Amino acid sequence: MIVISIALLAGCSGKSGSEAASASSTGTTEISLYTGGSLNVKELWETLIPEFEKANPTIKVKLVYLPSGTGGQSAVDRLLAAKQSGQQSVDVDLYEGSLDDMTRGNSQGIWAKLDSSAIPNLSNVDSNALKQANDMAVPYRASSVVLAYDSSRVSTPPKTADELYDWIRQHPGRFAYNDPATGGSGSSFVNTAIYNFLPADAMNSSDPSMAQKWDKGFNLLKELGPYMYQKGVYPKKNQGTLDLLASGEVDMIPAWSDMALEQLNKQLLPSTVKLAQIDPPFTGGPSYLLMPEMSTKKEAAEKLLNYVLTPEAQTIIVNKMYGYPGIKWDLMPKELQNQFASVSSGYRQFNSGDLQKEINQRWQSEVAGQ
Amino acid sequence: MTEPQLSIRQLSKRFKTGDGVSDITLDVQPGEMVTLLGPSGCGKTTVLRSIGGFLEPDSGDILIRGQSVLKLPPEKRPTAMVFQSYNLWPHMTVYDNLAFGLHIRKHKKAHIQRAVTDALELVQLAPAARKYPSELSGGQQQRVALARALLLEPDVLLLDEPFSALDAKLRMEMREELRDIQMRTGMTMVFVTHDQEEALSISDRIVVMHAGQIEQLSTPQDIYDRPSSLFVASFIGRINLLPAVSDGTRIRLQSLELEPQPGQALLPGACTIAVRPEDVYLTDEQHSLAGTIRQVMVLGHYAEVSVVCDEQIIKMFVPREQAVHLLNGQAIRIGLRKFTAFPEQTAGITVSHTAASQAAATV
Amino acid sequence: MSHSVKRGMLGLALVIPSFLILFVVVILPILYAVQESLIDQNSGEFGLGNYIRMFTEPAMRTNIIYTLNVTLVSTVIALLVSYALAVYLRFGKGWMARWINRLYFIPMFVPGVIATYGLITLYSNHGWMARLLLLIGIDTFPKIIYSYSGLLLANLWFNIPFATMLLSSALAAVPNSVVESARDAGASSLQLFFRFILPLSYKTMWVALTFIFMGIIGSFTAPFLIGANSPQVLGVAMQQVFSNYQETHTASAMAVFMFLLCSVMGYFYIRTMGQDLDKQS
Repeated sequence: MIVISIALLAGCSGKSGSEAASASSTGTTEISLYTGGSLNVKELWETLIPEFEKANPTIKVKLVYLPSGTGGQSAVDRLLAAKQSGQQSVDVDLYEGSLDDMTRGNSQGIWAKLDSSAIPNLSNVDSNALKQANDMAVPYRASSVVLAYDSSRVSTPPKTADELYDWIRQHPGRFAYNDPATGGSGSSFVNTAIYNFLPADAMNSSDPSMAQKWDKGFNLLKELGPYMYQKGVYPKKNQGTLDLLASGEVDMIPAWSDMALEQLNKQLLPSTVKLAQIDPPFTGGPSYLLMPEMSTKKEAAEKLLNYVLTPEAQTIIVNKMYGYPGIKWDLMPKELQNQFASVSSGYRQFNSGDLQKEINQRWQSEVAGQ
Repeated sequence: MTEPQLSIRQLSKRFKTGDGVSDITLDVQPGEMVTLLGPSGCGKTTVLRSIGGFLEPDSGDILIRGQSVLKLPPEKRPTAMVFQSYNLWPHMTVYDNLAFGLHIRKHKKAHIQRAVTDALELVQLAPAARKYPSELSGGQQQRVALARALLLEPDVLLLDEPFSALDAKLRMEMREELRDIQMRTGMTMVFVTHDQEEALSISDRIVVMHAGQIEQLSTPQDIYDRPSSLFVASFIGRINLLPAVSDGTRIRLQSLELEPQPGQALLPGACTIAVRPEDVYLTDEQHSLAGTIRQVMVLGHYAEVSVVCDEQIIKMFVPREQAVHLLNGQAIRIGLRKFTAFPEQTAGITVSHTAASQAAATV
Repeated sequence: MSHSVKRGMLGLALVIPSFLILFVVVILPILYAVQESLIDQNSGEFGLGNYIRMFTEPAMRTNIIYTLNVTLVSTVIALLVSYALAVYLRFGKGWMARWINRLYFIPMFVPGVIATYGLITLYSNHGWMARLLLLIGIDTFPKIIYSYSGLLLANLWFNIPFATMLLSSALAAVPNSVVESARDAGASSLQLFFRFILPLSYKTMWVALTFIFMGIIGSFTAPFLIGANSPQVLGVAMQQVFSNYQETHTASAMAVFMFLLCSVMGYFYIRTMGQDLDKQS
């Protein structure tokens, strides 16, 4: 759940709804793809679908795009309702969503198992990621929080988290992260600061007792407070810190890789801004494609899934979304690998349910209100 | 000769619209009531507001008791003004309205109380002290406004058409009251009005203004009897304006040959004869005009008779008893007791003709 | 009799739709919020727990005091500036007054988010203002954005035009002859203002005050984008409690508290209007 909200804030995740897609009797099959999120998700699919249809003339893809905040959640609800009322078929053939959607639907069995015999390109995907999703959701793209810095003022960026904290102490007022309640990049900075003191698997625990072990992390954040931009100003939203970096008010921020790369490309950020991942890395999250069990056109949907996981489609995805590919990096074209080398070292996933809420609450009272 | 209380010297003020006044010079003696009279747009209010300090003249000077007040703002000038309407301060009681000026002048409380009470008695409104302006009638409001201005004991009291929003009967009463107060207090007043009857009834002297200039400055009597221009003649009182021809020594009005009034010289040519209705009389003489009665209107103790003489309507006043014998369509002869002749060019053809028809048609 | 009954029914029929709308849109939500606020967020029991925590938790207490402080200071400054502006526009004759008169209400037509970003671009540390000052050699720029002063600035930007418009129309209704007769009676400019202009536009001043106060105390967009992280104004804190912490009951208690603050203002407003009616009748 935390993963979706992070991914949503980054503007690269999708949710979907449901509507009718009719099979036509003229030999072509029409499938419905439900997606949502920011406009760039829609633009991505509007590029991918024609390419797919060219290669598969018998399949038509109907894109149902529901902008974020307009009932994405209810699409899964509708699938659940259809299941409970005993309907035999649904009009959703593919659904773009999160791991949380998978979990919610899994208990009711609304998602179909994905099988590499039908989708050969599943082998391109990291098998661990598929296992984590019960083989029911394909992480087809992802983005992560990275360090964005202005290379004209920062010649040697920090390589590790500790180096980053040292850099912050040595350059008062030149670093900013956003209010974690308002955007995933700030949230990632806060989460990693807290969980770097804990064992690696703590990040996937939603055990409330975990909150007892946060003190070290919060002490670090409190201690860093006075060295922050304007002695402790945490802008609102992911864009808030990007704006500060763009105007040169700070030299370094945590930022979503896709947002930063897109804005670099559109020259909204100065070209001297560079991205780097630190060790241990910031958190990030993938966006998944799921196939409803009740879809009557699984074969066509599987074809589309298979296409999306080809290096060609993934190249379009990476270029359009400035995100991580859903398939392994070494399958991607060499030049793309080089271009994204700075951020491709990976990310961790933070997946501890309601604990995120408590972190934000405690951050507000202890760090912001210190 | 005493020093004038108010002296206006070559005052000029022109607005962007072209309206305004030019070269106004006027002396007002202490205790005198001078009226600025003229149609709207003639500049009378401009002069008054310049005296009060609400307008800055382009040139000229204004002196009060020998001191130039031109540089003083309204609150520093020894003048007080009574406005046409919305005069009283709606958020203050009548008492507070009157006391305000005295408070500002830092008078003692007891003194203020006495002065306000006296002033209210002067305008016969003592019981209204605790009321708000909205609880008073229009006439009462203007009386309070007058009292408020009087309390300031100005060297010159300025009144800007103070009674024009009141009905005719009340206006008449207020005139009398004002004149009465002026007599009692001996205050110097400058009064602006467009109502010639009002001007005639209350003024010591009248300044008739026209198009930003003084047309005539004299006593009401003199202005009535000896208007210096066709404009003044037509503006003041009721008058017949009749086209005539002058040969330089004598004037021909229809069939009648007239001697000019003493002291009047006329160039040969067309001219206009102005004669008041009360100066027209019924006669049997040969040296007179023949006409037909068109209408007889009884107006109280006298009657107004319209006589058509050679297609010109001449109005005359006759005593009521005499009017009883006059019938419509009756042929009569009329004579002119006194008249004023104006050369045509002083007023222009159009003015004289419209003025003549106005004189015939209106009160 | 049947006629009067008919008329009564007609009156009722005319009132019922608006009353129903009022009931559904205003009264029900308030009652619901009050009810929600009385359920303790922690224990789930009925009681004043949320309110007690609201006034005892240091962070929330700071937020409340901060909100009241920002609101009162902004309201007073906005009112003073608007009054001065309105008086200037009413009596000023020069080209300045004419141009201000044409332009002053423009901020009202700029959407809040855009205006807030505009203020950030203008007044942030590397904003236009700082760069302009740098051009003339001043390289220290006070911290305006992300602080109390930034919030103040935004509140003034949003509220001065509207208040000026209200007060201007009130001053336009003060007849010239009242002003002139006051000066004629010897009133200085200050006396003119305090004894005449103010009393005659005082009712509108209350309207303006009420609107400014309620607008600021409930504001969200500007404080969210421009204000400090802590303390927060109630609007931002409430949003955070509601959507991030998902503490519906705590958020309801905050909403009810804000509603009470506005009600106090509304009470004074209605009382002033009532007094005025009494005086006039």
